[in-house]
Amino acid sequence: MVFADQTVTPNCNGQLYTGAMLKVKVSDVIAQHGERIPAATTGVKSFRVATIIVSDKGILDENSMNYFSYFSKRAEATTPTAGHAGFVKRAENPFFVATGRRATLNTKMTPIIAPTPNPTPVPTPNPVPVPAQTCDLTICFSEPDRWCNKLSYGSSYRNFQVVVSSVNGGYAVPVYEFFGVVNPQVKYALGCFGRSNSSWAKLTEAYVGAQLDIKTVLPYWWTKINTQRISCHLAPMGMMSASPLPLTLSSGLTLSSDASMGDLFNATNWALRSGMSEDHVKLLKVFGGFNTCTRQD
Amino acid sequence: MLGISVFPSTVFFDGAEQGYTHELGHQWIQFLDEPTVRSGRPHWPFSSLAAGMMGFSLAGSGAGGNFSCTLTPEAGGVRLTPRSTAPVFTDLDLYLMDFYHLNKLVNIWFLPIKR
Repeated sequence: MVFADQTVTPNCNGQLYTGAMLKVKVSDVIAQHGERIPAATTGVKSFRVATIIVSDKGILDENSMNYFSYFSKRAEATTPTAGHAGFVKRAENPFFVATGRRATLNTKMTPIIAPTPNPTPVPTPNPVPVPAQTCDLTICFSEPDRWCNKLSYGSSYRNFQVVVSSVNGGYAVPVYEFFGVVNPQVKYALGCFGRSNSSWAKLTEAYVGAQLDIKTVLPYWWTKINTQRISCHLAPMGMMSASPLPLTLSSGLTLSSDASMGDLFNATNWALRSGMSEDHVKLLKVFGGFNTCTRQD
Repeated sequence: MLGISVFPSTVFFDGAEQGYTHELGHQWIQFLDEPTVRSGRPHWPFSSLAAGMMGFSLAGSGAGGNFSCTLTPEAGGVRLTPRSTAPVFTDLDLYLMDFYHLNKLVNIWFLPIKR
């Protein structure tokens, strides 16, 4: 419906507009322009999108890149997603939602890999022993609910996110909202509003708490956890009844003793969305086995 | 590559935000040379079409404006009801984007008459 008088903004206040209008059939438009080619049944429905930042101050630092990567990825969201314009908060409709679930965006940038030349056979040298990975980083893990107070009073750096698998489609959410208020979704995940005995809730608490523990030691940690072996962060064997690794989830995924913290977090994301309580319990043993930096002599 | 969106504001870098989706929509919409909708290009004239993601063209600048209104035909006219939710693409938007099959299009909408 198009208003006849285009010079005045129609007052959208519940009124019954009685001005002149003209009814037109879509066939009139088709008659002038022809039908859309290709037809919707064969057209492209998934698109790759690259976000490029043009900076006049040189290459952006890691913090800035993380910021833009985070917001770029939100274009892939498949549910109404929290957003704001100025001080107005509302649920935004990302592309998938705005198109009525008809089309998707993929914002992932994949490196271009040069074609591999035909390999030239070379004699196999004697295998060189690979030195064991050095555990060069100590992270002191705490009980998740300790973060309830620490977030409110203890953090000086307030611009970071954590993944809470149950919200935001599994994308990271900001720990702090406007004016430095702790995101209630994060507090809920940590059990700050009351703790549940379910394995799902306990794993959620442990997972979010572990992310916060890692952040304090490893800034911009999300890209670095793939180099951190789980076993490097487990408490000494004397403090555990048995090693929680290796473990196999109901999906068939196995976390070996060489698995990384990134592997653990990916497995946890899956388990919290699709896993069974047995999966939660297995993963909880890993989180529960992390080094708290306390000794039991 | 199909096209480039140039964002004048950091807000538009939020992929979930309306501005991002709106600018992406310009890869398809709206460039019709149809006399009845030509005046709104590259958005829509004030209409049920403008109530969708692509909005209307602000007088002077031609920048996109929001028309957060639901238009419902009734006996004697069209009811204009304010809408607080974020917009989505309209059926005609989706048709132009090649996401909507022709035979699913609502076959009627209203266009302006000459004064």
